[in-house]
Amino acid sequence: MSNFKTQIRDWILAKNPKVDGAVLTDDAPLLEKKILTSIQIMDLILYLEHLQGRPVDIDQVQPENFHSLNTIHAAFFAAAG
Amino acid sequence: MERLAKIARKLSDASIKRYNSPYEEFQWPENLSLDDWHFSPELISIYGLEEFDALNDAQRKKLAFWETVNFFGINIHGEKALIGGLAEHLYYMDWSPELSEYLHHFLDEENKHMTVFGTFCHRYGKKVYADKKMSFPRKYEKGEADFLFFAKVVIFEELVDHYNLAMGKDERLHPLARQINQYHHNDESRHLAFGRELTKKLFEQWSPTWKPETVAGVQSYLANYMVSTWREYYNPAVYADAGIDNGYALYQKAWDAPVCRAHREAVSRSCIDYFLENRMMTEAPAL
Ligand SMILES: [Fe+2]
Ligand SMILES: [Fe+2]
Repeated sequence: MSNFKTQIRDWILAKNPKVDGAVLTDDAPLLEKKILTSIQIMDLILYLEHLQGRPVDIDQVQPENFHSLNTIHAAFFAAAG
Repeated sequence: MERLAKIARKLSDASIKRYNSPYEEFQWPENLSLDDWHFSPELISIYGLEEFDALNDAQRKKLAFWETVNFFGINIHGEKALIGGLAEHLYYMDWSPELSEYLHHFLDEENKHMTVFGTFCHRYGKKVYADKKMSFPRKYEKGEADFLFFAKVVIFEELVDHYNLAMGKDERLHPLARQINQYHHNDESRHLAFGRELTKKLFEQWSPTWKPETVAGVQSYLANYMVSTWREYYNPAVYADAGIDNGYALYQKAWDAPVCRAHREAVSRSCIDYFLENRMMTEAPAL
């Protein structure tokens, strides 16, 4: 499993202590399953910027990019592996 | 809409009286000096933290400058969304002509504000910090989207206006920063008077027709929106531009610090009271 994906997973679990880690699979729909709330997306974007080491251009980001850990990884870290 | 139409008419008259061109109002110096304050130190996002205390005067002024660029950027992004939504509500449904008349002024004034904030950011900061707010499309009940749009405008403008009011009067600030804040506050006081009235009216009109889940949904959404709006005041890129190491860690620390939370609560108090009194929120947001 990629390092970035693990870090994002850990971040989500740290911010949402009530979420059972077993529910948070790579494909789990984050907002639908209330693993992540939409209000946390802005905070998450700043964390993604921190991991990437460069700013995220919100105009290039689609809501679907935040569907699951897999889609986040594909949208922001595809090149990094 | 009678009471509201009357208020809109009065506000339109005031807008016509104050009609101005930002191209004539402002003189833009070639450069700004970092020996001056451009943002009130007490309003700096990390004020009260040991990281702020550790800065010397020059470092504080540099940080204050980048906080100004961030604050004006928050205005730009908020106003961009605002202009779009205002345009949608011109000549809208059965709304009275007075409302459209006033929305023309509202929209015109916001467009002018954006040019002022944009000029400052581009000329002196050489950038506008990126917007971080995402919206997730969903379905609405009748009247819900209209209500939410104007309620969000009230939240955005209330917070901004607290800063404008304080900095428009702060004699320590460079005259340009003071003038921009003063200029903005002069128009915002009308926008807020209108926004508070219309938002309340829309809630009274539509919320009785909504399902209980919808009412509860908008109440919690607005509380969350206020939290997101506050997030934008803490920007890791600002700390990096001010030469502070590990801006991301500082961003997290500032957001969680009790002294910063107390600041957010104090600034938001009258806005929260307005939403609570009119049952548009059921409890104060956890800021
Ligand atoms: Fe404005
Ligand atoms: Fe405004």
